[in-house]
Amino acid sequence: MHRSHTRGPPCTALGRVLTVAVESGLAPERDVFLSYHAVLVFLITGVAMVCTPLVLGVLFRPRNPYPAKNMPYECAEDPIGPAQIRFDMRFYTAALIFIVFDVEIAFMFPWATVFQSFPDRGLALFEGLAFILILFLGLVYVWAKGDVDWNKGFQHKRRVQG
Amino acid sequence: MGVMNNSLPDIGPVRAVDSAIGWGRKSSIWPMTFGIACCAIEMMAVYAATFDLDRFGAGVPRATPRQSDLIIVPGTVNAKMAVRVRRLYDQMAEPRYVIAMGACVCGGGPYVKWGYNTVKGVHKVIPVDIFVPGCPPRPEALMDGILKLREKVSREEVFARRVRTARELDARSI
Repeated sequence: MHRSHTRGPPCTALGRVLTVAVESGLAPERDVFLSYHAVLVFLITGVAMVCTPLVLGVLFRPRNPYPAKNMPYECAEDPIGPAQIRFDMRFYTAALIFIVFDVEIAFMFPWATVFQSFPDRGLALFEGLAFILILFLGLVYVWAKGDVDWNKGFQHKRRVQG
Repeated sequence: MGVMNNSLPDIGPVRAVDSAIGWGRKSSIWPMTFGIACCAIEMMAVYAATFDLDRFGAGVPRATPRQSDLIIVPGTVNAKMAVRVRRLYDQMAEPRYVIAMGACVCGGGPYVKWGYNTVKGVHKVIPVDIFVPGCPPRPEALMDGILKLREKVSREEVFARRVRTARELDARSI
């Protein structure tokens, strides 16, 4: 903490109030207490910055709830079933594999479009192929782990039984 | 309505606060991502770079009615769609505004006589603030509608006691 907080009089209004509190014996020892008053200012400011917009919002906003307004937004259709359902973990792996190829295509198209205008085409070709190779290693890893196979879990169970 | 909405006397300071809130509201209109027919193509042109609706603070369509103040109804509303339009309007955050874009939405357009399935004007389903005629309207026409809406929004009472009853139609919701 800065020197002025421990030796000199604190510069904030709250700091001055705390100094008076210390000197009149209401608060504990001066150095430790006053050196942390900035934390108290920080806490009060933080709480105020959250609460003020919330209170202002209550004053400003029209409040007019009714059933059609409160129902879940499903593109104006009637919602079917609850929202808290369980998704299969395999979708997660499939999405990750998709991103590998998605990024690959996203970078390959601009690269191929301006390929003719590169001064050093050999280097550009090498860099492009290196990029593809890195992503290909990722595909090899996924393939070796068996995540490309949709029925991975079931086969594993069958192997254990057999 | 809100805790303090339209509860204060209509005097100078209250009116000043109201106009400040109105300025904030008109400068940050969030339209809903919503398009029905050919007018929607013109609407997309208005959002895009050439016409750039964002210079009026209304150029970022939100993907959910919960975050939108404005629904532009662009295109022929048929009977099946009208129910959905009503529900989307119901699910928007208040205060909410409606722009009817194009001849079909303003009153039936080319289907006004023989269109057995066309709702003859979206004002039969939801309260419309601004009508933008045309088939389809030019992008400039929709921008003019947005400017008119901005004027209307900036003139609304928030805290001051209400003198006009323009938005009383909202009471018909449900």
